[in-house]
Amino acid sequence: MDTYFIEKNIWADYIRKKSLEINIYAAFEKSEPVFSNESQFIRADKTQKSSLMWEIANPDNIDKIIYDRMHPVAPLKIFFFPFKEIILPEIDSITPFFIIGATNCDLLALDITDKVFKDNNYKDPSYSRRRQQATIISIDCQKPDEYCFCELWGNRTYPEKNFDLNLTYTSEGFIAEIGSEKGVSIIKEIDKKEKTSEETASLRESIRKQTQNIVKNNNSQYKICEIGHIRNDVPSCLENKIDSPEWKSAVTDCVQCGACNAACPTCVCFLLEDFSSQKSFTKAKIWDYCLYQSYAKMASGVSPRPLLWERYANRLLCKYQYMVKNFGIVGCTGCGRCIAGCPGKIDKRKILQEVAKQ
Amino acid sequence: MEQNIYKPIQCEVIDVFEESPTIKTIRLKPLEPFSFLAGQFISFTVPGIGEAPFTPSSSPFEKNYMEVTVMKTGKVTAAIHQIKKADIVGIRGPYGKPYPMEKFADKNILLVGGGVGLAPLRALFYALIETLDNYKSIVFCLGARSPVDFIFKKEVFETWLSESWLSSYKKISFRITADKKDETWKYNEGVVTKILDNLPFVPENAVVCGPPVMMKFTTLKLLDVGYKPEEIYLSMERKMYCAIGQCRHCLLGDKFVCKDGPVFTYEEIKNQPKIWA
Repeated sequence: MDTYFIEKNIWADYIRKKSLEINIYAAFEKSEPVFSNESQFIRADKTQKSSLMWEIANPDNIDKIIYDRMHPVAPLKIFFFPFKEIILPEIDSITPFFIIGATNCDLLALDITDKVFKDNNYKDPSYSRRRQQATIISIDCQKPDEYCFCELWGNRTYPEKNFDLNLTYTSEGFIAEIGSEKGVSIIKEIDKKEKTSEETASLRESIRKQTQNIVKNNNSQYKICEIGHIRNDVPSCLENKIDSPEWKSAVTDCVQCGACNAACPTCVCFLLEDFSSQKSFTKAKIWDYCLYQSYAKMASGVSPRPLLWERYANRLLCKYQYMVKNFGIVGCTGCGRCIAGCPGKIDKRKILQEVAKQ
Repeated sequence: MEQNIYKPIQCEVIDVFEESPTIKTIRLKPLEPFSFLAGQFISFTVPGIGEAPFTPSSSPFEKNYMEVTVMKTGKVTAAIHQIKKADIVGIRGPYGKPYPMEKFADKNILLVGGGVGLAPLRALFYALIETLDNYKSIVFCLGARSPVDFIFKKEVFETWLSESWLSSYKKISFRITADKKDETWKYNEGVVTKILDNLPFVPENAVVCGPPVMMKFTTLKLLDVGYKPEEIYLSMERKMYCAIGQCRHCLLGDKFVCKDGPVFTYEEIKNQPKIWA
């Protein structure tokens, strides 16, 4: 699609004006979480001594929006599949909004959430509405941390699809790539922009290569199956590994907090909870975590996975086996949030490598 | 605007039958057009309390009402047991795949049910009766822990086992057992696998529904007497919320009980983890 060069101040002016019309959620360097459920998986950026959080942009904080780092702590799914949502008697009306700062690991996860909630015989009405009303302005990841492993799965550090407009930050300004009709209308609203030259194209190329190399180097010690081409295939080395003894040692330090579930951009499990007040009944859809003992426990008290290692194995097999069978896509994009957010410091890459070996 | 997939259809409770000390049948009149096929399930809402999935136990050909037979086990089922005539409740559905009636054509059919697991088989049995010409014969094995726990007593003992009924349905026979009998019991004693020997036909199709341990041993027994894994139909049960293939709670390995099931052949699920849990 077409790419344009937009100077920083021109872009900031556009966003400043837009922020008076609609809600714009953007990535900011923060210590205070905006969404209450974020607090449990704050990802400390060791070099920056801070975390990226989604927050509403306003004319005063526009200049502080972060365009050149990585993904924020909370996964993009929170905008479409919020932690808790009332689904009965009525769902909230949803007005148009912008998201600035989505990275490829989160955009790829939309392939899964779309298949679950939208491209299904039963359409989740609020998910579809949120998807329609959202304009996604993504960025090229430029400072991945040691937990990121997108390239290990053959996923890129920069967006290739599922965005409306993608911004590559450079010291001079943004290289903006149009990804949809919504992106076309943004570009139309910006007066001062120029079509990119060959020079800017190769600048973008080199910025991207650099980031890819960081992730590749950080993950050079991991060899899990045949890497690089498994996004649409069950990794054969992980097939039928439910009985691997490795799962048992993997969970020694697991405290069953569910942070890996909450932080995961492709974890879609939810429960339904009914509430009643004197006059009305409401039903809410709330995230549920498969690491919790209550998750699969039936009314009779029986659970198919009473042991922690069974639940942990189930979580990873869901990502690498069941979701592939269900949706044709591996349910892990390599964002690394489950590793970064784990209080037990469990590194999924190591576990998978061990399981795959046996 | 899209329809809200979670909005239930309102139903009026028109009768409540006590089946056993822990099991009740609720007769509902949906206030909007509603129909289902045998084996499909509904999500039953008690307003303000919650939802739980049940396979209706009444005939899918019955147009005036629908029945669900519910054992008291958890929060929602306890609330269902409090329901009175004229109460308004909700249902969503029908969901899941029905029993494959077309596969039963020109075949002998074995039905094996235990405890509250007889509920979906009752719906299937009525559906089979409606189209009885299509099948060779039916053996219906019914079991319970004790005579007191045996459900649909009136129907089974006063109607189906009556001479007049049996003489007008010559293709159908019954085998009845209780794990432990009492002085009133005139039928077999022992678990349901004990009444599966010497079947009057070659193994062709078997439909099983009951508690997990009963389904496990019944499946093993059926394999033993010559049924093939693809001829054994099992009603699987898992924790379930959405019932529409989204919330992932009911996954049996990579199979959704709610949309790939709830009825599976043993062949379809035998390699999935922990199927009998």
